[in-house]
Amino acid sequence: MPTTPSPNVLTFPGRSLDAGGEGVSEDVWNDMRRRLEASVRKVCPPHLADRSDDLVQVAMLRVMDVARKSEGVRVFTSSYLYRAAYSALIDEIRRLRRRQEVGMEDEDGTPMPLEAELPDPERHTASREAGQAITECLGTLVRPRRLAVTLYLQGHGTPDASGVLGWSVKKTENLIYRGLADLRRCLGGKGWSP
Amino acid sequence: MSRRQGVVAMKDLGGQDQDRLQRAFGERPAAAPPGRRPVDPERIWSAVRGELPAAEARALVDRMAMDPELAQEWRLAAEVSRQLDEAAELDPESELEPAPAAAPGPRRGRMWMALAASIMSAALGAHLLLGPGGPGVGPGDAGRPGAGDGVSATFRQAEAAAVESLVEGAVPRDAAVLRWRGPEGAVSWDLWVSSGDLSDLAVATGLTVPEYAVPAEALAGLPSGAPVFWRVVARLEDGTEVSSSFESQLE
Repeated sequence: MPTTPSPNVLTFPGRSLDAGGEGVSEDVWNDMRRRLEASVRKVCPPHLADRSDDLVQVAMLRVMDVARKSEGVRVFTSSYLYRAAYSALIDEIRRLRRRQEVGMEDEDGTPMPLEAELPDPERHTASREAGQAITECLGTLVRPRRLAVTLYLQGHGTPDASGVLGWSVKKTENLIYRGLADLRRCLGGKGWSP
Repeated sequence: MSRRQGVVAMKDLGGQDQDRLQRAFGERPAAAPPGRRPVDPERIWSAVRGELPAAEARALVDRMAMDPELAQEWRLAAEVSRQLDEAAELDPESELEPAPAAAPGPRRGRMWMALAASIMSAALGAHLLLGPGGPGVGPGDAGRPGAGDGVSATFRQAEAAAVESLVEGAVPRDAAVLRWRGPEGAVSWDLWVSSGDLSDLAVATGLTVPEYAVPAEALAGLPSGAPVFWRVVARLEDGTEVSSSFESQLE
């Protein structure tokens, strides 16, 4: 006979939580969820972005599960939760990648889309080749320039890159400048002209 | 496809010269180089937040140049991190610094209720999508401290009470003992030792004393002066985890 949860207990698949008390607003959680979904949609390729809702749901379930286990001991802050949610998201994305690699089907029987199966395959092929050329050329750069340019290509500004690499802003700026020149030269030598 | 078509395609990517480069770099198919273990997401997050030792962050960036999968995960970390900072600006009263073990309390109850309410509706769908299995820990994660423990592996943070290295100077090759201290309340430690290119050298889990002798054979392939990165994950009495990363040099 099914049991009826008491009013202050929320039941999840396989788990329940005490739900009494007050404090951190619901808005914090809802805001975090929206931001995570927006992040996935913004930076992930379409086959992942299309699943942003589900990926974030699973990540948040897992964060909640761990947080529940330490109930009564620790208050979890936003920075803590975002960090944990990011890790959980990556775990789920990797899990999804592995399922794609072995050609698994979605729950409704539809084959899960591979990254190659994107709209405009010609453009995708060109982009893939351009990306490959950039990767090869990065490999020819001297290491400090490669590091600075890689962060630049990832969208980091000079101060950000400087902070990550532990170099002065001036040095980092110089490395990006010279590294980009090297990169263009290399790409030009391969017949690519960005 | 001809080179010319490729050039046109790159120009079609839009924006300035640099924007096109960034776009093309970002659209590399997310395939990891064969034989490489995935990087611990905690490590990626720490690097993006500027919390990783610089030498280790450089090693990570170097790998990222050749590893589109890692680059994709890095971009997600950067965006989530940006969202976190934006949320902090909009709501400066929210708790944005890591909180050490603290007041149990009524504050969490409503927090969980809110989370519960927000996720219950889609939990089943997510379950169906991603399968009934446990956390997404695969073969590539096997060496990750805490892997298999689900997201608990991610509940590590650099708190005031962090792990402190007791290693001074270069590490002798034939007696590479890594020692550390703390944090208070730690009951066991996991250790992950990697080389300058982030290849795993040794992994030890469930250590009950805060030291570990890295086998000499694990270091055999490294030249003198090579960096050795090591990360300690301390498991506290309450089940949560705290981690710190260090860099040493091989003698």
